[in-house]
Amino acid sequence: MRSLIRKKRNAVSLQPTVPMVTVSYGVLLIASVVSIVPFLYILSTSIKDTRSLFSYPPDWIPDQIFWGNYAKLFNETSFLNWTLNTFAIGLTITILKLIIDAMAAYSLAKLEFAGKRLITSTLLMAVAIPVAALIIPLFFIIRDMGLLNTYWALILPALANPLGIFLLRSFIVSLPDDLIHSARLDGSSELRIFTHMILPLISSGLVVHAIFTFMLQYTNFLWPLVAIQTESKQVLTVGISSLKSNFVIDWGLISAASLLATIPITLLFLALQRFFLAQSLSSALKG
Amino acid sequence: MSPAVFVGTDNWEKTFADPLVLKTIWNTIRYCLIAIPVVFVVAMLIALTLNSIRFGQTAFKTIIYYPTLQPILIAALMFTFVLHQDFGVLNIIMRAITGEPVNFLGNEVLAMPTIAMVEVWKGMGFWALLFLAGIQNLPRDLYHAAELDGAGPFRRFFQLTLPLLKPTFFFSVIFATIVNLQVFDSIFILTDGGPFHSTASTTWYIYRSLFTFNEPGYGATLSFVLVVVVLILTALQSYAFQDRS
Amino acid sequence: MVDAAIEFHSVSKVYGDFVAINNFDLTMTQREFLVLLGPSGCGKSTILKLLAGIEDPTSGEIFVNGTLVNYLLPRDRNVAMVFQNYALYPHMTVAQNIAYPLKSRGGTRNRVVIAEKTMQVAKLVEITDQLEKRPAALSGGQRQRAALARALVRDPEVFVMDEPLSNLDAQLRDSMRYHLMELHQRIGKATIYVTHDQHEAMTMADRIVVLNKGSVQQVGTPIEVFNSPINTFVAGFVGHPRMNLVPGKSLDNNSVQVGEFSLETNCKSNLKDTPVIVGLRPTDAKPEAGSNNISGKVTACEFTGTDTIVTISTPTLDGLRFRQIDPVSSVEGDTVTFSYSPEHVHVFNQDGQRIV
Repeated sequence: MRSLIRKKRNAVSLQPTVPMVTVSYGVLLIASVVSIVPFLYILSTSIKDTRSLFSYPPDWIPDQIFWGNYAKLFNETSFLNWTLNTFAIGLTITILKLIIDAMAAYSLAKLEFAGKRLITSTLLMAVAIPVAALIIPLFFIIRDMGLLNTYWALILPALANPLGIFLLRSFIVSLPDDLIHSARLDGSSELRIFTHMILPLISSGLVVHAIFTFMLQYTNFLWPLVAIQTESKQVLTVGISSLKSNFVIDWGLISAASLLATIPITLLFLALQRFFLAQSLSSALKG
Repeated sequence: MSPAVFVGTDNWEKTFADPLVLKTIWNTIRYCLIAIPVVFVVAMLIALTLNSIRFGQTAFKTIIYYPTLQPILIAALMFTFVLHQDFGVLNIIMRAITGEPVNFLGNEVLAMPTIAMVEVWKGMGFWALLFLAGIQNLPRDLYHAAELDGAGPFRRFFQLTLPLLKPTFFFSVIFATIVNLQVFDSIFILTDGGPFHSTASTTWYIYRSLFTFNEPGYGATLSFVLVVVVLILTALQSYAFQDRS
Repeated sequence: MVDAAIEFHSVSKVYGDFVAINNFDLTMTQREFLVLLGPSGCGKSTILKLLAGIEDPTSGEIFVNGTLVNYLLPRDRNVAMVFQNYALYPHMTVAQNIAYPLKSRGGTRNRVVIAEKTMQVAKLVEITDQLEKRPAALSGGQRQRAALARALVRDPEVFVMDEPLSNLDAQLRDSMRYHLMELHQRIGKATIYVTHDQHEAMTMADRIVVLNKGSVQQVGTPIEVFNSPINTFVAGFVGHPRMNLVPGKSLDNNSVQVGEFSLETNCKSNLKDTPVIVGLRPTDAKPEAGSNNISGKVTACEFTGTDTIVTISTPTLDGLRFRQIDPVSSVEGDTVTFSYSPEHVHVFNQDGQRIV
């Protein structure tokens, strides 16, 4: 009887047993290897001469580092152009969207005006429309505006995406109304309330919004593929994919380009890890 | 491209008489039916194991979440290096075991499941962290009570964790369906719809209708169907979400 | 300077079907400390918002020092407000919070002047040692002082305060109340103070406005409101413990019949056999027999420290409460007798209006 009681008491601790923990670490180790190996493999491929790629058994770590793929990438392709285009367009969109979305979010969250409900529900509907379904109508609209094959073709549609408005609105809604009332009594103009009260108080929301907007542009593929035809005007994703359509596929070149394309996101991830791990999930849930 | 002419319901009839259109719809559904259950099971497994360990949780989270951030296109390109018959990692392993490489992408049966694996690889970290957050928000008292009642870890998982996470799952299934219904980048890179259109998705068809088939009307019709389906899913989701809160 | 600091002329505020403020009239003199008292949802905060310009009235006119302010922006009204939750700007230090109205009103950009004024009001509210902290790092009382300083620094014509002490614990509330009154003495600006706490209202106010459901019930000094409540709502709301309100009927010669007791009153009505409501404050009861007696059996005793509140029941009445001051103290089951002097017997008609 006594031993039975003791056994029960031990059981309540909810401590995982030793074999369970071992299995857990095993599973996580496998998942980690699966997550990381493709990155390591393209790293290894990118510093090998393409001919040695086809040797079997493979040599995972080459005796001598071969820089030829990287040299070719910068000298013989528009890789540098693509990178600069991606950053220029991505940053332009991010800055413009922060301004537009924050203003719209503030009006929807805290101001009263005619048609507010109608505008809110229209924007909510627009959030739900899948990007893939917009490709054809967008193509004709942008073509008729004469903007195909220009950076505006990438910038304008991105500005119209209302998802960020709702993200920022959720941050602004949680600010007490009395802060705004107080600022008004203290003599602030509406613009000053926006710039001196709202923006500083939702700074973490603005960071999250900026990260997601930039990431979305960085990873965007289908629309630039449709809207931009000139190779040197392309963005990074489409540019790299075009390397694969050459007559003779240069695998070393593709691996070097792919690896370099992962670096900006990796740096962003390392710098702002806490935002990624914590906020992305909650904002995904809200979105 | 010709100027716009009103063609009534012509496009609708023609679009759905096209066997390729029907095939892309079926392929897209097939893709979702493979990718979503697999990525959810894998992610759930990772979430449970993450929840049961004490040391190194953040390190594992970081590593497993990392692929989620990369462009799908880069993920797909990496997969060519995993799958390639001559130098793909997986095929090097296959050759070591069976002596024969497998042409994953050139095979009508294997191609679509293989493409779905790109989504599994890229998505497992995202869903694992989402499920982990869900698990960690569950009331701990219930687990203590269940353990006092003598429920073992498996019974606790199936009788407590899974039912309690039902709202999270419902939300996740719809969210994942909306995203995966639009699969394009990985197909464009890995198979371009082949072999024999066995991996042609609706979004792939929409893209091709514009540039290759020169029949944007069909693509537009298909786009509209996609919009309706996604709107219905979204409505379901917000209905359930309201229910919860 | 105009004699009236604030005037409300038939001001109403309607939200959809809900009448928040119904025909509100008020004239406040300079230096007056006026308290709006009422239960939550009675519209008292709405009156402050209308005055400050946060909300617009549906009808009526509001004047500040003789100027019609209905169409002025909040910033042009020169009304400073202390909010219930302080509304301190969380991203600014206390010093920046206090200086904010000076900077944003565009009066002066001179840093030395701003720093001097900030210091001056910080000294006034005794918060000079917290100036570099953010609001989140302050205690409730310190936040209250910072919010007060921010209102003071503008040197406004009128102060409005929305339940400023309601988030403080009891001890702090007492000392802040004293501090606020002292400040008012020194600054001498017209102040409207909103509270649901009758104790605050009684101790601080020059005049009290009792509100219920958007309508003014009574306006008067604390003594008037307490001694001659104009209706049963005011009678029940002001005073602790709550006034006993018992149905009765009027008799000849200024008396009323309550249950089996007949009580003499100062009320000069000669209506006979009219149903009335009789109000008896527990605190006015004298614990011995006199000419106006009520006696019954003690059913409950609540010892409060300085006195005991006893609940009694008689053959026809139930739940009457009276105060017993020590050492006269009963226990349950005792039979006790209380007497009232005629001026302490309040009589209301059936609509709840006071009969004089």
